[in-house]
Amino acid sequence: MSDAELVALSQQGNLQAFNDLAHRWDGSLFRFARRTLGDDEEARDVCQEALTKAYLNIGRLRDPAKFKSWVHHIALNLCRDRFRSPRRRAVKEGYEEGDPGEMHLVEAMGHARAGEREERRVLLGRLLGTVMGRLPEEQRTAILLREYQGFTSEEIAEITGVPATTVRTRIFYGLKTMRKALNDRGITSTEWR
Amino acid sequence: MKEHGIDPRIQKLMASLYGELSEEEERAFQAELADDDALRAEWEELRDARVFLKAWEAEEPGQSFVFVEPARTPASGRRGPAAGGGWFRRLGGLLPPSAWGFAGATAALTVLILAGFRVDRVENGVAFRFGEPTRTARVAGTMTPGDRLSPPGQGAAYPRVLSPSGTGVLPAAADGYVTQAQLDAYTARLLTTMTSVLGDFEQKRNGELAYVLQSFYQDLSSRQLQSYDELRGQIQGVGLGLMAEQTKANARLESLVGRNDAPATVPVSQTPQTDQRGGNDHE
Repeated sequence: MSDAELVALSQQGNLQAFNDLAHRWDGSLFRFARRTLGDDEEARDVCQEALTKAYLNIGRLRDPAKFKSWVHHIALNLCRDRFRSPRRRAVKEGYEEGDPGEMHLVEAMGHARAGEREERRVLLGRLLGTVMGRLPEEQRTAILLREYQGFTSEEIAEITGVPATTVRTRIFYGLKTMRKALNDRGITSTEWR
Repeated sequence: MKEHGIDPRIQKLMASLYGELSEEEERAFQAELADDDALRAEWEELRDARVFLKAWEAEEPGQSFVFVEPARTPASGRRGPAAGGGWFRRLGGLLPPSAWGFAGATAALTVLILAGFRVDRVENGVAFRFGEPTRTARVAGTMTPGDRLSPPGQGAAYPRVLSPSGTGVLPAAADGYVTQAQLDAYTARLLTTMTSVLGDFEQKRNGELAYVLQSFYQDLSSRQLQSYDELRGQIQGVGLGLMAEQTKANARLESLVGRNDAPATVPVSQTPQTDQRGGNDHE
């Protein structure tokens, strides 16, 4: 059953239909929130809250086919709320570039032997999370929605409320910044192709 | 942050990178790439950047969020299983086969409900207790798992399960739907509480049994000591009586012997005279 059909049933009060929708998209929402916030517990909270808000407001969704974009839009707003919280700001202000954790990751990648590709990949993933966390929020969001959630530039434009051209520009500069940050730490893409 | 203006080159680069160009546009762009080294270098740079992104995997949520039926509205006044399956049947159908622990928890919850366990909406949130709800709770509506689904957006009062960190009364939220994550936490808390209660009960029972056994043993020991003392007293009494009788018999015998013998003879009570010369050999 398509999203649109499930949304239509949900709008008639069919809880099972909404549960099917939730089951279809909760993994995607969690991963998006996890990459955005960098914390499992917060990501679960955002995921749960987003689905709850979606259920409460399912009657307001005019285009049932756009449920995925709509629920990601809700999740993105919840993530932004958390970024604006005083606790989050305190953590961000306390963070400095080149902190010991990041240096440790770079060193560990260098020490890992060529045969330990999986170990290096995990370390690269963690380092990438750090680098992405330092990008401007709008660039990071655009990259996450495009690369990991599979949205088109037009869909991201609807989610974030900016033109598709702006979305492409944000992804362009975000990718360039990320690549430069990794190259500056001696990490090239050759090994990962 | 400063937003960049619309650069046609960037737009084409990104559209090509993500396959958003039409076939005709893509062919034209590829021709442009072949003629423009700077553009090609930038295109390759972006492609390289995307390669890194493959390494960043996110963990799976580990559990799905399942919405269970909200409580009946005070206005509806309906109770009992919902149409198309009850709360437990719906939940059971959504559970993975491996969730037998959860099934056990729901069974425990059923026992609690049968025993009078209530979840009541009170003024400051939700309270749980055994027995009849308070007057306040009745006014606000009592929720049980059998309560009826109300379509979303009708202002229904929804149950909110206890969080693991809860203290017994939680603030009621307007969007208080029960999700599987909350329900898991709730059932885990119930299991913990029941285990604690059973543990306490067993500990108390063992304590009482130990006390009874100890009392019995002390009583038995006391009775044994008492019996022994009594027996010893009786034996001593018999011994003293025998000694008294023997003393009397000796005295009678002496008197009889004294009357029949001549005065020159040696008195019966005198011991034989030792030899005055040699004395005792052992001295």
